[in-house]
Amino acid sequence: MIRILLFLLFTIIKIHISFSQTDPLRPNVILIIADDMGTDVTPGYLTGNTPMPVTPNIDALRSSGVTFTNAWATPQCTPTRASIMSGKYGINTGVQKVPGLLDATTHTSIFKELANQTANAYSDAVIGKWHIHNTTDYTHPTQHGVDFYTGVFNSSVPDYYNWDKLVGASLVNETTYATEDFTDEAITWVNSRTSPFFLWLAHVAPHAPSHVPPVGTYTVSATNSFRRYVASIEAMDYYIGRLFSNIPTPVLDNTVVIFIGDNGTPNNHLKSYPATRGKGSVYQGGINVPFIVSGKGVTRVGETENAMVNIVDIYATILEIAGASLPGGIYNSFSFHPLLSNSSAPQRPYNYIDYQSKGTGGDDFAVRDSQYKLIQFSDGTREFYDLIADPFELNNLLPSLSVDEQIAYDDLVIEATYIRTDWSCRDLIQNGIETSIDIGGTYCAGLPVCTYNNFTSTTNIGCCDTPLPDESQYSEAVYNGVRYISTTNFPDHDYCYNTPAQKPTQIFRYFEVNENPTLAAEKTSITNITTNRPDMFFGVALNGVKMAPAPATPFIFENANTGEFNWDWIFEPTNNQGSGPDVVGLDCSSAHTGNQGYHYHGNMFEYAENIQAGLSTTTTAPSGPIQIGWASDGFPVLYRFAPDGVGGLALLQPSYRLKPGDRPGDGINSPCGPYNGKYTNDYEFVLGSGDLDECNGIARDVTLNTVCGPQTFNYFYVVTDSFPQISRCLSGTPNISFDNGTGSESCYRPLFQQKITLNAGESINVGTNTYNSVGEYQDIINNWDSSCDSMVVTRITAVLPLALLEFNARLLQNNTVYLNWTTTDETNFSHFMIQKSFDAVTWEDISEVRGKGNLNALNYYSLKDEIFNNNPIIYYRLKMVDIDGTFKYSSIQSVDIKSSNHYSIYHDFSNNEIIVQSIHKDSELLEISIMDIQGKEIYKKHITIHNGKNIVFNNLNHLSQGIYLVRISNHHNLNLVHKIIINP
Amino acid sequence: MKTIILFFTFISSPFFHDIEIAKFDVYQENDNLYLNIKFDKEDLNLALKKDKVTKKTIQNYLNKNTTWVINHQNMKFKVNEILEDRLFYQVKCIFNKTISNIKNIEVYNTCLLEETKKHSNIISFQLNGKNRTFRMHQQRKKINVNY
Repeated sequence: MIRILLFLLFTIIKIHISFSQTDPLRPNVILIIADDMGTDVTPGYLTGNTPMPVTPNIDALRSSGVTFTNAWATPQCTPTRASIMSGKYGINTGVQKVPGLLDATTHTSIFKELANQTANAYSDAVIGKWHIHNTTDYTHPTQHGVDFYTGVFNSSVPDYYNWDKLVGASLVNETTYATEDFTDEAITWVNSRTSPFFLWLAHVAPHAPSHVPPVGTYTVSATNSFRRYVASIEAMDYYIGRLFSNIPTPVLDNTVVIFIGDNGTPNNHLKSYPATRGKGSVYQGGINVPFIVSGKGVTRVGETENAMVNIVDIYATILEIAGASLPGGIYNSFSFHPLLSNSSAPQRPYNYIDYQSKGTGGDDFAVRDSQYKLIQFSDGTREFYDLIADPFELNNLLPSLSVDEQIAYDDLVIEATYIRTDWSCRDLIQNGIETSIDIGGTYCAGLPVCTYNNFTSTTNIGCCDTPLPDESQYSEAVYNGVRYISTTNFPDHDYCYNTPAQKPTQIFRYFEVNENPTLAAEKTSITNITTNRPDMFFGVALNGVKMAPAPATPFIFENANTGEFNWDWIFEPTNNQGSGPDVVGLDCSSAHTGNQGYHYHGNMFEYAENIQAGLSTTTTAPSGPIQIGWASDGFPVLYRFAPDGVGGLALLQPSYRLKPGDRPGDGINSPCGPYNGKYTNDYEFVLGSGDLDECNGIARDVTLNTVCGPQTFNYFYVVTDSFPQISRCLSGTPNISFDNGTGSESCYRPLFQQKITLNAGESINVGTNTYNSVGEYQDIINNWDSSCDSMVVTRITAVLPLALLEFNARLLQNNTVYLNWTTTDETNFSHFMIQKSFDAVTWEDISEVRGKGNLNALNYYSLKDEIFNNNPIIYYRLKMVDIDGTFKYSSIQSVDIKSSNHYSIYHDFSNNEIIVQSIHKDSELLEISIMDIQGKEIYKKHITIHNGKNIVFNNLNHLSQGIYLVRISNHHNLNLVHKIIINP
Repeated sequence: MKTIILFFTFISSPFFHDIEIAKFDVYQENDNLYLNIKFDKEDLNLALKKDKVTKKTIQNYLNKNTTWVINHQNMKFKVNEILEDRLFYQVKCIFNKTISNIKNIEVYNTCLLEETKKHSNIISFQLNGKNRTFRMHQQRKKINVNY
């Protein structure tokens, strides 16, 4: 009897439950969220992956309902769940990354709104993954109005068979396969309902880790990571089938099932889309997700719908399914409920998502219409795609757009501005302060809208050509406190150009800067502060190419009505790169050719790579600072890394940033739209935000090797990775030779750093000219001729009435230095004063020798100097004095007293022999060679040198007239070179 | 005794970069009104159908393709000099009279617009203490500038 009573009671309850859950005006809703399951692993969408999962239950949903092909979610789970929960885009929830907290007081959750709209008719639950919190506050689901929650509170499980499950307010260890556990919880909860229900079933599958599911739940051979990933999808499908089969048919028939992926496929499993454009990216592979709706009221059976939908739309749609009547939707959520039964129903006109890909700073966003998609990344760069012609986004249409594309582009910019600023007046939803659908809102009255083309592009035209030998020439010399620089202004690295006319040519240029620069009281802009036109080059690179970052005609904001340029808004070249109109054809070195020749506008990538591979990208500091140029004020320009002030090198950062918000312009007289770097004026200097000052420099010591040897500067500039890359101002006083208006020269003239002293028979080559007169030459840089064909060289000392042919000093065995010299052409000559020094600075007279006065013959002189001290090296020179008192010094000869290798070389004119004199007590095998003046070896042999006089060459008659070098070496510590002159 | 040769003394204008443009600079100096024009050499040769241009051919071409009206007075000008380098012609002109108080300038300009479809003529005025620049092209062959 008791059994009968219990059976009747159970039957009554079950009838009641079934009736409550079969009210056609209150359909049940089951939202199933797959975690990390993109369209390329969902049957019915793309087919790029192999093997594809076998999913008969999801297939059944597809065949009985509507499959949406253009559904967008955010690229990661938390922002997507926050948007479903709130009905708002990330820009409005503030949840644009992981982790993120959807505040329950600021946003009305779908559960609360459902309760409000239906007078609490529905019971609801979230089972599975929660993850819209960043705390361990387990009441968070309750705060959002969820009646029942159990599952994984965080992002995923560490082990599908060993995980912590939130039950009530406590975590309990669970060893049941997670997907199975969620399913069983769902079955239990659904079958215990006494009212219409809304179940949010959030699986963690197929999110990593990819563990093998229970036997019998999958078909694929789970032999590797991808196959285990596929197996977990198949298992999820299996348990979806189990859920449905455990819901009474009348209840299930009155249920709407929505199946979605929360973001794209993780990159490690991505096949159909370009690599790295899956989960975490705002490209299609990251945001185009599976989206299937089936069940009660879905009368479009087995249909595919190309209308745009967004996961945020689930909010309004479920409300409408539950009986609420919304004006198009609510918040950002457009109800697609009518589309489930009517293919002609209104569709959302735009789709939109945003995402903080870098975790900090600005967000990336994507906005699309039925054909085109605009992406703007957090750094302000944009891409634009035709999704119909190019569904995998392989062809960025920017910057060259057709008329139709430009119209669509401008329209999407406007829509994104609306969405990101307030509530759109074109989204077919009554939201914000709108009084009805898209009427009465902020933008609905036709307030000024920025339609000006605001795109940016940082893609250069690459490298396509290589310099020929000698096209790039650079020389530098310092004289009287001035650094002189002569260049051909031609790159020494690969380069490119858009048309043959823009191919670089040699433009000869001559610059001067202060050798010892000082900081000026005020900084000097390289553009005219009144007209904003470029006034000067910033500097010159060490390959001779100008550094001219300032933009110029015609890259200026233009009034579309009058054509007048607004020079307050000049294009920032590095953010307007490409081929075509209105973009700058910067190449792989951020350079191109203007009528002043090839010049750098930004980070000189290829040039830097030419200096040191990887230098333009590495974050590891090189062994020392790398100077890349001279600024026009004489301070050095370093590349990326510079002294950090505490003894090391660091990647220094500029102190500029994009201004926040929108430009104040109207789009006609001056640009509007968000500050995105299109214009130089989009940036602002913020003291202390980086390392460098407003001129991208810093007052800090740096020691560099210059043509004059090591030199320390108390200030330097840095070429940085981000704006301004190359400075736009000078902290010192710029030299006029860098003025934009200064002309070029007619030829390249090499510069010499040292004074040049020519002895008899010597010569130098300067350009195409040869100089061989005996004497000392002034720095040639001060003696430019006006012609490229010749060069005037001024001798700064009077011509002495003799020619010194040879001057030698060698150590004899008895602590005596033997000096000998030879002259000819003695006319009006008085005497030699022989001078000695121990430091080559302070000299003492040791003897005077009268001149012999032979005009045409050779005059031989010699002198012995006894040594009485222990100085390691002794220096000698001749002071050659004319009868009128004028004089000239010979070259300096030195004798190495302390050296263990007491060798000396001299030329015995009388016998025409080369002698090596040794005072070494031991014999030694040495290499003896004779070279011409260019260092080309003529003879070489090995001879054992003994103590005393050694004849190493005894027949020099076959050597033609000229200067030769004799070298002895032992390939260890000995390398003596002696110059000899062969006369006829 | 340093001598630096100013080889391209007329390249003091801003860079032309990669865009097909000609530049027209109007300025006053010593009570005269001047017009300096810089043409891409290849483009102008194409327009004139000549490898070498003369003052006469350029004068005729400019008379045909430009009109300059200042304070409602039609201005004539004379080509004084032509300089050239590898890429550019510089045409130096002087207007037949000077207007002391310029209030309005109308310019009609079709130079090179037929020959190169994407061509622009950049007109710069350094007048009345102001620098103003305008871009003319196929869709804007006439400008009206008020001071």
